[in-house]
Amino acid sequence: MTFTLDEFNQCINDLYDQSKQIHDRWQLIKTPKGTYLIYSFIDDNCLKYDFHIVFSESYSVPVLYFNISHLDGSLLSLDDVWKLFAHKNNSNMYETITQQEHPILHRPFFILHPCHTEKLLKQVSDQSMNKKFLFWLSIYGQSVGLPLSVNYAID
Amino acid sequence: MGQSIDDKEITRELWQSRLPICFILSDEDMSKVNRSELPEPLYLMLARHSYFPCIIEKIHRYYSTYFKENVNETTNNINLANLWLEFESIPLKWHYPIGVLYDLYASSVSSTSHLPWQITVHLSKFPEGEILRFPDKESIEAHYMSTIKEADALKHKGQIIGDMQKRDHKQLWNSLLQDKYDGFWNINNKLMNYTDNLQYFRYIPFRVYIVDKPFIQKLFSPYDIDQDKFMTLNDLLDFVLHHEAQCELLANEKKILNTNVDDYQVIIHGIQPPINTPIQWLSEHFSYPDNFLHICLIEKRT
Repeated sequence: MTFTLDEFNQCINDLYDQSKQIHDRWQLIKTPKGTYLIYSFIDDNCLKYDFHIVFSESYSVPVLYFNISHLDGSLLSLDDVWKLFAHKNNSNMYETITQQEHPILHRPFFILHPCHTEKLLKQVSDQSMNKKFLFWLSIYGQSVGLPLSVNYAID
Repeated sequence: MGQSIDDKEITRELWQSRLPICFILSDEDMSKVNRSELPEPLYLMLARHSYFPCIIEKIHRYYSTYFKENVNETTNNINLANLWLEFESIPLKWHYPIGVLYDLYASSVSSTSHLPWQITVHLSKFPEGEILRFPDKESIEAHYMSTIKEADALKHKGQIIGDMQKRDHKQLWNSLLQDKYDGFWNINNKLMNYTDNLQYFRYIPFRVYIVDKPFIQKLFSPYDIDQDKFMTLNDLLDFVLHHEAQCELLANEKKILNTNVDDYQVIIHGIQPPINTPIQWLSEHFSYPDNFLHICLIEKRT
């Protein structure tokens, strides 16, 4: 159960349109190397979260990239990140999150492994493309603190 | 692709190739040494297909006698955990195999001898916006495994790596660490099989490196069904260079890269393979242990 590039682009454009309607923070970035979504915010502990949704051509699925930084710009280590979210996860740290080179920006980001995404999406294979995308985003995003308004799920 | 005894010998030869490297402490860190004698350069012979983070500990141990451990762990302080490597002012992206970095940065056309490869060791001001952190061996293993999984996703939709036992994954990594060719290829051979009734891989896992540019990775099939022929290295590079030039045009870059394959030296594992080699064969025999073909393009100087 995978996405084509066109399907992915449609989904992120739709999410972006919805985001504007409900005055949420998603940004759509278009580059010759690909289009992707960004969601940034600062939490109550002065930690800055940056989430990117990028298409993986290798896996034909969306992938969630993220960085969390202090306000002075310094990045949280994987250990720090894991401690932040340990209560949301019950699996091995290195099996879910690694640091990788962002495929479009080519600088370090944490990534939630896409190798299980296809299996996850099989659970909603009968749903529309947009619903599949939101399902994926709600599961992966939730495990790393990405707030997703319930308004997106409403058609 | 037909397999001969000679073909297997090639993979063994590539496994054995080494680079002599000389590590020198940066001037900035040298000035903070708290002993009367300054550290001598550290000479190591490293496998081209291995990764610098695998020897962080070794470099760590070598320099630790010259510095007191700093309790404060922020990025800018002298701290062995902030160790990073640099060549000619470029922080080395050490998640790339050692041989790739050498071929890309140190082996240019016009020079005489670049060996041993002289690399500067830094112990402060870790450039975390540019290079990955590997705080332990497990993090290097995790990165390696994610790359090999991606390669299998391209080649076989992940079917082969997915069907393997965890201990097979461990054997790949441990054989790489312990330099065990047979242990490695006993498992890696499975990743070179064909699936789905094809006589080739679905897509070829590859990355093309050109100096001062981020690497280029695209979907590329090793077989042209319409023309009923196997694609060559030349075909792949032609495709990549033209695609990259398109992106540069769309991004309004001032200078567009040269799209003529003949104007580049094409280097894999320090070797220039014939440009008409089938890319399927190269993928099976010239890939790095992460199952990717890492191809360096160096512009020829006229």
